[in-house]
Amino acid sequence: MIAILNATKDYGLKRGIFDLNLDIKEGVVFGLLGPNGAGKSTTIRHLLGFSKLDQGQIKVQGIDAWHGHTSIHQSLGYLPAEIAFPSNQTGLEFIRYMADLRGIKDLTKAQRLLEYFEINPKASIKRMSKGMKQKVAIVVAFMHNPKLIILDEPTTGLDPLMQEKFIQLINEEKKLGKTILLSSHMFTEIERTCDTVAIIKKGKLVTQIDMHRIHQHTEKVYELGFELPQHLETFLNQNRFPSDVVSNQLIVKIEVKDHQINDLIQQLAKTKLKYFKEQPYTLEKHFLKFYGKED
Amino acid sequence: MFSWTIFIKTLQSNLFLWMVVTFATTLFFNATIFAVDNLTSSGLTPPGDLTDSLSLLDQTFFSMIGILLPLIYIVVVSNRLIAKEVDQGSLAFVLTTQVSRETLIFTRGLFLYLSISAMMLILSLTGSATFQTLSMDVDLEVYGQIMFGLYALELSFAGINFLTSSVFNKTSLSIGFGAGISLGMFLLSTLSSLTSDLEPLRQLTLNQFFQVETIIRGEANSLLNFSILLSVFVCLSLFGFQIFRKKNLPL
Repeated sequence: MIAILNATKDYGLKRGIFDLNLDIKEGVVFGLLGPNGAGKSTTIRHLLGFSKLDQGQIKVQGIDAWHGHTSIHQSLGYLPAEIAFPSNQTGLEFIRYMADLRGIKDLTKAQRLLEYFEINPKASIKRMSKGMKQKVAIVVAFMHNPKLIILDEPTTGLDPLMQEKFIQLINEEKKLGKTILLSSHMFTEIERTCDTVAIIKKGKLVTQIDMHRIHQHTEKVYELGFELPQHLETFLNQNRFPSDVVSNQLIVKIEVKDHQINDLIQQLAKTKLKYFKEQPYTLEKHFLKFYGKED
Repeated sequence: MFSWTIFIKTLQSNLFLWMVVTFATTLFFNATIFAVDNLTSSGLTPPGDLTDSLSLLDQTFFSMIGILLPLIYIVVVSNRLIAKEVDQGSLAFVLTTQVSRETLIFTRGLFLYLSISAMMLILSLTGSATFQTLSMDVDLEVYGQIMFGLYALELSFAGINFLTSSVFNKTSLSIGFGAGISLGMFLLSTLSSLTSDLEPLRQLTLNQFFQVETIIRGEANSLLNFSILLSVFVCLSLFGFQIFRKKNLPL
């Protein structure tokens, strides 16, 4: 569906995207993960044909994103990161305006989404809160049943309840076979929606992860707490697993593969513990491998 | 190349300002005609070489308010049509529909052109009606030339402002350059009329192609002057169109 080939756009001062390659298959929910300034919005800007690459190419359904953006947009829904509507109109007027531009007469889905997100469409956009504007923009992005949906920081401004509803909406659209590109720096929404995630750092692709690998990670980290220093010492003398002692605390973190779990339990049976807990392997942990604290 | 939906929306967004400026300009123009009629019919001798109604109108309307009020409309609306929406980011919604950049800028440019044309037409027709109502002795051919000259001058300013709105992504730069150049020309032209020493300043402005006193005296090559003004409008508008088509949009 989307092929980004050696895409480079250099804004100077190491800002932009550099030799970026991504291949997004049809029917996949694809996450772009990275902090602010990593190049997520720049990638999307070029994907939408707003800007021209210095080098490389972006193709959507085989069409060049810069030269053929008008035909690409026919089956595309877009939610920008910064919501700015033309002023002096109500939410409903804006939705109708966008529907007219798209040439759609049937507003059933728009109506359903307005109810789903509990939006009063007759309110003036000028008086709407950030979250309410975000919801109107979500309606506009989904109302015409596009095949490809591009969402840039979609839940910014939404309260936790609406974030949950939004994640449900994404998962419903996924079942309908839509291709969704979701850019975010929020791990939970990416973890709960995406099939594949690309981590971007300073405009470059750091890694691409299949989310099933994260969900079914076979190497676990367990945290062991001890009451007394001698208990900790005894454990460390017997320990056969890779471990890391938390400095100045009676805590050890050990890495155990799933098939070694019985060995661990046998070893722990001989140890005096204060507590024992698993630290689930999350996307955030995977992400932090590539983004040190200095970033 | 043209979208009715965008045209209607643009009209709705700018109609109030257009009505206010058109009403104010028309009111001032017709009030000035009444004042000039009172002055000439009272038998008072006008100052300097102002011997007829059109010459008096030149000093009171065509050189000042007649240029300035429509210019304010042009500066504000040109900026609203492109640069303001790029700056705010609201254009992202429109440009991710099937609407192409070419359709958007052509439709909005056409709106600007038609709205100025309608404003000038109303101004001309009401002025002409007032002359006839007051039975004033005005050469309508000369009056027509003056009004067309004013129209061509405003269109040339529209070309400048449409270009700056298409080129710049920031409202401040679009208005700064657009209004700065247009109002700068207006001010230089006004200064040049104060003393003969400052007369050469007029040569730096587009206003040199719209000199009412030379039109009245029959000394102006109106066809050439107005062609230059219209060419400026067409060339700058096309240039703005081309730049907007190809530029990187920070949306």
